[in-house]
Amino acid sequence: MSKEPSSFDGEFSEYFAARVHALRSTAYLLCGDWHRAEDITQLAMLRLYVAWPRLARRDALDAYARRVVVRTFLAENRRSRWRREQLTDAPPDTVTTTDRDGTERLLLNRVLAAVPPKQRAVLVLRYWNDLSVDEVAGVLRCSTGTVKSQAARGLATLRQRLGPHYAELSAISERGGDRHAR
Amino acid sequence: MPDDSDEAVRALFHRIDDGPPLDIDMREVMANGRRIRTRRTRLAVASSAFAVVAAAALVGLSMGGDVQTPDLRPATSPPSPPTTPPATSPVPPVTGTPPPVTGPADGGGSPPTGGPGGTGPAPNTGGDVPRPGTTATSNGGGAAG
Repeated sequence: MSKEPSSFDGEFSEYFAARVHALRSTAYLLCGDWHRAEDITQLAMLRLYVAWPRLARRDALDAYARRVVVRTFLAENRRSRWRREQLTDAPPDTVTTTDRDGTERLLLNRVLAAVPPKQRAVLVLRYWNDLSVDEVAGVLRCSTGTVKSQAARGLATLRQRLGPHYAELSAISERGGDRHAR
Repeated sequence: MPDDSDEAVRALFHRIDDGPPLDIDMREVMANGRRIRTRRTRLAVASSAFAVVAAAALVGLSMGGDVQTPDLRPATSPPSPPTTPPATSPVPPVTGTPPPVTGPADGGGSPPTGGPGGTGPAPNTGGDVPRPGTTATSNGGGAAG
């Protein structure tokens, strides 16, 4: 019985092929680990498949999948606190600038890991998924004021952790964005 | 926070690479999803059947419980006020034997009306109520002369 294909398998396959990479990147920014990001993405896709017949609004698929990813990440952080990285007040180690792309990514991962999970989720949804404050509040089921305060605190932590690298990375990122745009 | 800083953070976030090749099997996800949906469907059917059986059992128990409880008594009603029968006057009974008529012309001794023996008093026939013009007992006029 379970091996019979469902009527919506074709639609789900198309959606899976189109959106799974973006969801995995979101999960990676949240957790900082590609393997864990795949686990979160797989669970989100599984829940999306189970809930597919109930999702009458097909334009809400992205929002639902994103919500599952963020909540799975936050729930895993609550359940397994021993897996969370320890937050310290020490600034990150000084990075060498020989391999710029790799260094930037490593630095970004380490700085993001220093941001508390809820603030990290707000930052990722706000600046990676380009959601508005209202949409972020809807995903996290909190008020817009909470989103704003969490975003401000998360950005402050980012700036503090990056230190002098913040302006440099921003300039490099802007130049890289221009290069990619061309 | 200024917009320039927002754009800088946004550009910073978009610097991540694509990562390793995707290792999620879509067919496995769909198979697991189908298995979960099948299990949920079976669980829903079983729960519904169990609920129906439980409701029927409860109804049966409640219906049969009334028959098997002989100790149940109806609530005692408050005591009724004492009723007094209506006052009725005694109705004289009707007897089949008319009372003896004694006439003044009867000079001889008449036989006693009490009975053939004449030794005892007359049996009470219920005619204790005197009637006007009659006497309950004979005077025995012949005996007096």
